[in-house]
Amino acid sequence: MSLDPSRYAELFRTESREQLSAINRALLLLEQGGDAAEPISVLFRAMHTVKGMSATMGYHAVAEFAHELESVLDRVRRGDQLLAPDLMDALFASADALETAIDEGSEQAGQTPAMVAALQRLRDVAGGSSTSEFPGAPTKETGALVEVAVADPLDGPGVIVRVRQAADAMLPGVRAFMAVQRVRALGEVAAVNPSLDALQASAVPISFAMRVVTTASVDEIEHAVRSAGDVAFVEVDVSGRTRRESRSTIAVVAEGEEVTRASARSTRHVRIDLARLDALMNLIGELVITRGRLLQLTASNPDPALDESMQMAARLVSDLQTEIMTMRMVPVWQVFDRFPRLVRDSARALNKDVTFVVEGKEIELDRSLLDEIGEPIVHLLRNAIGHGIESPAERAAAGKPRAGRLVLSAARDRAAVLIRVSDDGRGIDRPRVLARARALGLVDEGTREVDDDALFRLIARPGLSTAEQVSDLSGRGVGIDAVQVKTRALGGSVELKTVAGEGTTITIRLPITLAIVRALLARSGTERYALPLTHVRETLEYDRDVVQHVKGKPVLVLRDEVLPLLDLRDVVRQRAAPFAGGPNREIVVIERGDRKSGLVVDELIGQQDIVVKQFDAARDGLALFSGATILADGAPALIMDVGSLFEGT
Amino acid sequence: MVAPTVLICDDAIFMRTMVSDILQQAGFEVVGEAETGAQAVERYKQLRPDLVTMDIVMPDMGGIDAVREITKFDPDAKVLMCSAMGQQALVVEAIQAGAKDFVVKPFQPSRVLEAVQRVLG
Amino acid sequence: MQVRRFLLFGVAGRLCACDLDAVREIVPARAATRLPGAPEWVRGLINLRGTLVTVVDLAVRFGSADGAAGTRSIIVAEAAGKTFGIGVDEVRNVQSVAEDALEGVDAQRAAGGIIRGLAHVGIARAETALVVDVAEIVRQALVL
Repeated sequence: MSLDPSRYAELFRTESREQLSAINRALLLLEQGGDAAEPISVLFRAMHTVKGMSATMGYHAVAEFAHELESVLDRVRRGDQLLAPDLMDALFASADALETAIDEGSEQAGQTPAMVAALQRLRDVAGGSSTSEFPGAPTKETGALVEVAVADPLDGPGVIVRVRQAADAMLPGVRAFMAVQRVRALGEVAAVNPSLDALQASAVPISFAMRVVTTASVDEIEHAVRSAGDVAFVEVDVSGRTRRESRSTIAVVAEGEEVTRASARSTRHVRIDLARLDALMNLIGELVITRGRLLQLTASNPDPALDESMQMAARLVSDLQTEIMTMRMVPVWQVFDRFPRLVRDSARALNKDVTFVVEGKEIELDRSLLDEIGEPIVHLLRNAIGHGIESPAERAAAGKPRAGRLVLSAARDRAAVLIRVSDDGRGIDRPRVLARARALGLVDEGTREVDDDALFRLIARPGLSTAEQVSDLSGRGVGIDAVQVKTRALGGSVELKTVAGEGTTITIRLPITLAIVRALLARSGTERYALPLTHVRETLEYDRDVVQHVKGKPVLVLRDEVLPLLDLRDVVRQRAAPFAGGPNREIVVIERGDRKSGLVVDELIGQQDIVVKQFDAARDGLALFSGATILADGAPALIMDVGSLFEGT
Repeated sequence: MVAPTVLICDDAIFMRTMVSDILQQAGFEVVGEAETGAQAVERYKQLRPDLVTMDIVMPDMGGIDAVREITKFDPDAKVLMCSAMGQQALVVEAIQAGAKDFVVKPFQPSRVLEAVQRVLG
Repeated sequence: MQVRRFLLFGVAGRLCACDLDAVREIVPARAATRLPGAPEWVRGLINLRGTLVTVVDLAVRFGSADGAAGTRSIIVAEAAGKTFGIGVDEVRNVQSVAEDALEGVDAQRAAGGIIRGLAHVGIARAETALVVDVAEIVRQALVL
């Protein structure tokens, strides 16, 4: 369902080249003899993928050519066609022709001379043309794959089993050996990385991977690995059967005699399952924690040489972290591009006239965040079309253009990404919302006015809908509630601006990455809390000049602004403790949208990268935390959901 | 439910007592003890216990050879090796000979029970 | 006769027991990070080899005057799909208990539903242990 194929052209070329490399490698394997089943399946699957992709791109000549090749391979696979040397030659020639076509002549309607010649040759040796009709079916969705440039030492057929041993494993080398041994009972362990000898000799718990050719299920493999004991993590990756790519493999091929046949062009991209990136992210997360611990240890045992090495290692960890985070970043259009169609369909179903504009498509966001935020955006778009934008007649009567304008935009704001859904519709009907809220007892009887923040809190309550009629598309007003919950879970916040008759804007503020965030570490009494920098504006010392009292309540006077002041001790309900540090307290200025507030803490310990981990919430626990992290000394600390601090004020 | 039975093989009384205590507390019935490899093989054939704990270094046929003999007699024998730190290579050999798992001295009861669970699980 | 296996442990001078099946491991007590707003008997979060585990203190739940002062071990348990810790004073051992040595299990409840019966244990069944319902602890302590 691609909307603008030219956008995918580069992706198509990259992936087709990967598939061609796989094709060439499989052809070489076939020619070397041995078991043909696996290379034939690889060939067939790769050709099928190329066919589907070309058809989707509208490169019909390439698709038809791939289809012919696929049919021949299918016959070979079924044993209806003998794999004779002249067929091999024809297949190699076809692969070359396919490659040239993909590289140079993708768009042209007809087949290239090389393709025509190759097809002729193929028909000569493999008999008549294919019996099946070319279906022109598009390839299936690529799913959660991210494109990155890496080398993979476990190149080859089979599944990849990745294992991490428990940190307290005894004789870990033996455990690793046992894990390999247990898996051997299920199939052939074709490769182990690091080598089995190295594993066996390991005196420390280790992470390793093996490539296994087996018919066993993922569960069986996992169970076998775990039965070896002291396994902290095991993952079976079945996606790597066909498209693993490694530079070393290319190099070997290029040194051989087949330079002209095999692709001498080193492919720089490989598709990686998102789960593997997540695993990588978890590991780097633990490395970051360990680095923190080591830095603390070296600081307490001064030794210039050790210190220097430690600093170097710390820098390398930072670089590694940045690299991995960058690997995970994808432009928002990967999700945004499916919205125009959705907006069009919704608008039609509701008899609305909508002009849809998307801005900031190139802004990048962590892949997992982007995946999670898609659904909330759909809610907001549907709400805007269903409730915000008026019917053409109503708009005309109000002196507005008949077509409503709906804007979806993404923008960077320091350590955050802002995603905004904005319409020029009727705006939220404050009196109606208030009437409903009063009826439900959510506000005092006398309340007649409500600002945007309070209004948002009201409509975000489950069950309070302003829809005059329940529409299929926007549901019963549960949308905003879901948006709020999801955004919170991702460590972000939601803001609302609405003006009667002019329209509504909802802004989702998200951290750029999910797994590791930069945070300010603050002490309150003996406790430590992490405040993500996404919502921190600045910090200052607690000083009589900046803190004044208005109606008995302390406020922060910051330049020309007067901000409410909260005490972290009150926020986290610490029992009255002896006031540590006297006046030497500090203030963190936190913000959400236009609202700012001062948060008084006992001490600012510093900024650091923290790894966000989830925990099971206790009953009645305050809903102020988006997760927790493990500090350098091994103790857990809660991560404050700064946005939620504005709700009580 | 009948308590699972165990044969404890170690040349040191101290170690046998300790392993015995741990396993008894976990609900095992200690049906026999052996202080040499040869005894271990003989008692195994006699008692057919659900579990065997086997020291590696013992006089008159070591633990590894005993495992080999026991596994030859009963391929399903559940033998748990008891090793000391630094015996990696020997433990690997024992596993290859048919031992199902291992624990490392000094024993931590929880670790022993974990290993036992894996072996019997 | 059916035999059930229990882990025996002491809490504030009382002998308690819980189903061994629910027990994953036993770790030494360690400092926990308080969860603001949570009930008093929820001690907080501990770091269990990189995973965050919520720990409750049974002594506090039982209303012991000394509170959690005597807590020396944490039983890491699994129930209702959650992994969590139960702070106890000492872990004794594992015993197999025959059905006829159980009293009122699953019929009688005490201590706000957390105790679900008695088990007569030890030599000649001379000792009585309070059988603790691990799943009920989870239901009362955590948001499921």
